[in-house]
Amino acid sequence: MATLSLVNALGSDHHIAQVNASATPPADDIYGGATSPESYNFLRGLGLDEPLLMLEGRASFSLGTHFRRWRPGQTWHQCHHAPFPTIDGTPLIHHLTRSRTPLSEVLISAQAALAGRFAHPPADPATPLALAEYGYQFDPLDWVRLLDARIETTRVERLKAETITVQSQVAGRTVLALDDDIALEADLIIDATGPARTVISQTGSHFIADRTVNARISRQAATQTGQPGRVIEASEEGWTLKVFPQETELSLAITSPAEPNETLKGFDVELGRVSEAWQGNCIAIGHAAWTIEPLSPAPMMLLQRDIERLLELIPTTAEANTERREYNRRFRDDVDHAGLFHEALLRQEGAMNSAYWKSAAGGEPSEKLARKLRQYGHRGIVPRYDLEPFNNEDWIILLEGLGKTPQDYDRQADRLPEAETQNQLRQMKATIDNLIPRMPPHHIYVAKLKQYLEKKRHV
Amino acid sequence: MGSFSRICIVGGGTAGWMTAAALSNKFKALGFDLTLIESDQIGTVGVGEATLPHIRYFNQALGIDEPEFMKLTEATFKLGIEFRNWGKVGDHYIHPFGDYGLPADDLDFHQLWLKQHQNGGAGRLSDYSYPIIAAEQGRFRLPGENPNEIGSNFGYAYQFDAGLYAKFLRRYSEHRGVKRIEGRIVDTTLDAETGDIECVKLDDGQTVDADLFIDCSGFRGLLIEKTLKTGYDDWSEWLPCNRAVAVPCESRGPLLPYTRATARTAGWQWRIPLQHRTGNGHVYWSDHISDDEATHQLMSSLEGPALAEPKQLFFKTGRRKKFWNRNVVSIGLSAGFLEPLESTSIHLIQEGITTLIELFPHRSINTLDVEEYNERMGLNFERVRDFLLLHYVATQREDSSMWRHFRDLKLPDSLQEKIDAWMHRGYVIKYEFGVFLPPSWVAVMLGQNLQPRGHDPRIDRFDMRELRQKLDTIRDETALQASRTPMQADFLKQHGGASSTPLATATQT
Repeated sequence: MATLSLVNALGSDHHIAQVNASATPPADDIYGGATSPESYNFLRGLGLDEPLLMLEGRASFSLGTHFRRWRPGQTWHQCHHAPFPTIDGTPLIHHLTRSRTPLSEVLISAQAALAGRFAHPPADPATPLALAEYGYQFDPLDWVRLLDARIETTRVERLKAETITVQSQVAGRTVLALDDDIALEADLIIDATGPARTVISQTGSHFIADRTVNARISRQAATQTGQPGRVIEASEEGWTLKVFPQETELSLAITSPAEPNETLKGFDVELGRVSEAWQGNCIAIGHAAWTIEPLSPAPMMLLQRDIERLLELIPTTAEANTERREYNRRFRDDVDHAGLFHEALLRQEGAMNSAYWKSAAGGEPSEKLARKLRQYGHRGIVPRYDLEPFNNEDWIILLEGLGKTPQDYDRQADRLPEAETQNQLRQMKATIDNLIPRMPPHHIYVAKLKQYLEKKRHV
Repeated sequence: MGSFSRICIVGGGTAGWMTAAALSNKFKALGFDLTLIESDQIGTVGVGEATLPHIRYFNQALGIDEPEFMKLTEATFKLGIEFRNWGKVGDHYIHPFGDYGLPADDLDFHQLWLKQHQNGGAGRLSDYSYPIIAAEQGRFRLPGENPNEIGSNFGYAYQFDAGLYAKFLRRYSEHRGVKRIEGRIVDTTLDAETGDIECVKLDDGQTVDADLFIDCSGFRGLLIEKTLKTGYDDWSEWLPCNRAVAVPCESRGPLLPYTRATARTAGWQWRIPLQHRTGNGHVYWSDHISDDEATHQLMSSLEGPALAEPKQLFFKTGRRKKFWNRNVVSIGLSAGFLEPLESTSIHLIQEGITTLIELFPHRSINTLDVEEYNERMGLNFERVRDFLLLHYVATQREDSSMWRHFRDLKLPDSLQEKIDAWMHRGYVIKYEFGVFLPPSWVAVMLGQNLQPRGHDPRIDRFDMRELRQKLDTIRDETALQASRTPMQADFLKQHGGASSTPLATATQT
């Protein structure tokens, strides 16, 4: 993705080389196999438009992530949703709190996902389906193949090596060695080697580890495309993610790391982030810069932000001090803010008393998250920080899903008689309930869409 | 009537009546008991005659009819602020309400301009801004419906008589049940246990008790400071201007849709064109100029005869340590003061009101609401402060002791980093919360001659000829759209916002 983005963004006077090292183990599965709605334009910019993703990328749609038995009694769909409507000028959440109506009942994307149904949100704002938003479910192997094919058609020089190592580090300038003997110099080196952090780890940037987990991945063919959204289910040992690209089921089990005498069940991953994602002339992106669990689409959101940040700050001078400082500032904010969302998921009362859950809930609690929780619990508002990856709707859906109910609400909600509020909410729910059965099952929608796109392609 | 619904607003200037109007509009249906205490003996400051585009949302939320409001407050439209003599003596630029040009492939327009400029021959950045070209020609119309088209991608605000606006909102508020009490507060009674204000006593002996007091008493901070001793963060280190002298005068020339801020040797002078008069003022730093000289500079540069005696104002830039303390919320000048260089006074009032409404207590005051209010308002004030300071430090002026002071000033890190990033490559460090968006920073930094050394290298993928054509097309379209725009005075009449007599005066030459 970074290579294609650079090719698109920079003029032909920039020489771009991509090095594939076969000794670097791929770790793309821990991106979690799902994108958020914000990725739509980004992917299109890479040439990965929806027809291509559907026809050649085996993508399916994602209305969010279904959390099943996250804690006893906690099951909800963490759906993607456009800004919630207001009632009488007051945000929806306050009316729901006042009338003690569950949020999920009036979320079209949650209800559609629970019913296993999908249809594209129409432009007509009169239908509640217009409020649904979606990302994609995908198998990273498919997308790597698509991206690879696209890069082949560009001016990018493609190099292959068994190993990549750092040959020298002089005055903050890194020179690489391919297979220990071929020197590779560049003004800018993008380290996308995943948790191996082949280059960035040699530059003086250190990894700030939070904890280690074990990841175990499996793939199996399915007779038909599965749910329009991922499923995460908690267990004593940790949790399991299921992703449903076309006619495939990917499974990722996250547990505590293997004990020394235990048979290796998957691979261990250290979670955390590097101290400086841009050090010298090296910029780490994706899992080379940070590793977080794919509890949400955050890994793909952060990867996209890494690339967009990189493009905005392509250096204009060799020193790149200004760009580096700004890149690292934004990098820290983005990773920390995405981390708040996951911290809310993991740091909960009533967590299971196993190694994984104790470790997940450990560490210093964040004051930024504490402020969000305090304010939401008090009156249903979620304080925001500059340019957070997760929006207000994401947070409200999450906190409601976690069973956090505001004690109070915006007093403006009291302007409407309670019976009228309830009537409006009932109508919203009824409209959604009527609409859902008329939406096609996800697998049928995907199949018909592909037929349509195929026909269109051959016209 | 529900609990916690007795509200007392202290002070009846712009802040007081804006608060009364908004609360009466939002909470009238809930049976709130809203009282506003003001004294005709105590004058109001009324420095906030110029506004930012956000004021339109405030008026719209109140259901105010724009033409009627404009007629009754002698309002004019405002497309931006003209800054004269800020970068160097003789310079001028307009900070517009809206974007420059149109983005290309998601790249900021100013980057296209920078590349062309660095290669010679881009002309003024202002030539690619519809609101600037229209403003320079004295023209105005409402934005079109497609915000991605030239001639539609702009915002607008108003310049109005703050006294008339307060009167207008007073009628609005009284019509919605706000009780106005004429009187001067002479004493307050505190709850011995909580320290909250229980009631205020007026000079005629009557007392007014309330669950919540909103202090709109201006610089005095009658409740927030005199009673509760909340404390004040002094920001004179950054913004040291501490006095102003203000005077209205007769208008001359065409009715201009922008405010003017002209830098002087020890401060700056405002000019705000209304339909019936022009508002003028000189904000200055008393360490560098005497009051007499400051008044002389103002009076000798008026465009028409003065309509009143000059009024002297004293202030200290900064903010209250807590905007909301116990059961008192300070709004307006009692909350803090930032010189009106970018017309933020009324905007900060508006922010205070909307935040208070969102966090309005249910049964009693919760410390969480107070915390949140103070956090949000603190951020608002700080971000405005940095933007104002930019005007003083992005300058090549060294012709007076005040400008030499700013040349040597050590800036807050947040501002220094912004300037450094800009100078390096025209990059604007963004944030989400705060009133001034990147185009505003671009306007001031380029307007005051901070020419970046580089540009975004992504622009280099454009062929120079292609870039030239793109820019020419945008500049020509901007000029065309502006030329099709009516003169503001004509548009005001057509819009139904012209007051009956003043336009004749305003258009005299």
